[in-house]
Amino acid sequence: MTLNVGDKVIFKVFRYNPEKDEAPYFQDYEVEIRRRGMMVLDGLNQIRWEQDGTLAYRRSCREGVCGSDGMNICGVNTTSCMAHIEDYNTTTLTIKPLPGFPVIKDLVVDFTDFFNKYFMVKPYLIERIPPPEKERLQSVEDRAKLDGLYECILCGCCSSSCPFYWSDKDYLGPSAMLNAARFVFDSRDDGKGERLDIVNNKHGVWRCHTVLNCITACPKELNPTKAIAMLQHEILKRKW
Amino acid sequence: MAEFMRGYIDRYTGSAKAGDFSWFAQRITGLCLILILIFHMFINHWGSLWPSAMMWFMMHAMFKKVFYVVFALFLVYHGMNGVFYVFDDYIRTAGWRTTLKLVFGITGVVYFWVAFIAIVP
Repeated sequence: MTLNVGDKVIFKVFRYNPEKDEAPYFQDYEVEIRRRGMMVLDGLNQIRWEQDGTLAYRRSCREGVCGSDGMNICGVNTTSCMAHIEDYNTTTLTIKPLPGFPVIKDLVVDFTDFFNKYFMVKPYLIERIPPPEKERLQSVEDRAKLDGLYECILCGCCSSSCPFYWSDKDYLGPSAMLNAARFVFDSRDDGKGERLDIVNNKHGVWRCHTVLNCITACPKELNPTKAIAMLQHEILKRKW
Repeated sequence: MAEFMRGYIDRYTGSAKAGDFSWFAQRITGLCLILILIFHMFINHWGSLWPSAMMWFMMHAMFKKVFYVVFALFLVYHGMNGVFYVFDDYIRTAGWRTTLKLVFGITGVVYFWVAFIAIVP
């Protein structure tokens, strides 16, 4: 559907202020298309700056790098700064907070548990030897193994789209395990064993039932399911 | 480890909390069940497709008994393990989960025993 400058689109936005509201509700806002290729984030900014300053949502870089503005748009998790309004082929966009996370206010959710699980897999280089005087060298082939793993922006879209992340509060989730894989397969890292010990858990890699929602949800087009399968393979290889 | 991480470490450490064996065994038994099922069809329904010497071997009482005991064992393990997975995924109360696993576990053992005494008189 082509939207022209001057056209109007309805944003049906999830609203909830736990200090005031008894229950969440949806509020409709009219967003004017002011230039071709407007993003959903541009629409939300228009609402907040010109219509309703009480609307709460996170945003920062507005170009798909910071991962702040993960939300559920028309039933699919994505970052609003990477979602073109036109691509939804509708004049009414339903915008909700990421499912499975506690809502703080409106589209802002609590990421505490998500980040604790991320920190749990030790997302940093672990070295048993003293650091070299210059940079840590890595061959081109070893560096290529990290493609598809290091690009994660921690927006939470993948974990939030996983039904087992909703049902099992202890499940590490696709994002934490993608980041675990990013270091497990890094040739410069010596912490492979301890990371595999952490993800080798019934709330870790073995909870993944390959629903594949995480792949659809990832705005960076990464494949957390494949990363989890790689970790499963490494664990089985190490054990048997 | 920072204070806000308190409680997280215990959840993901300890070999008893791993699920690697049941995950792996579920796939191996699943694969074996497909092969066993195909073999079962050859033994019981498509016998004419086999050379007579092979057929004699397969129809041998001892072979059939071992074959069907293994069939029942894999079937019960695969089924029960799958049901346990469903309980782990969808039942959030630890008490209910344990109770249901116990009930279904005992049912599985009884089921296998019934199959065993039916196959090996």
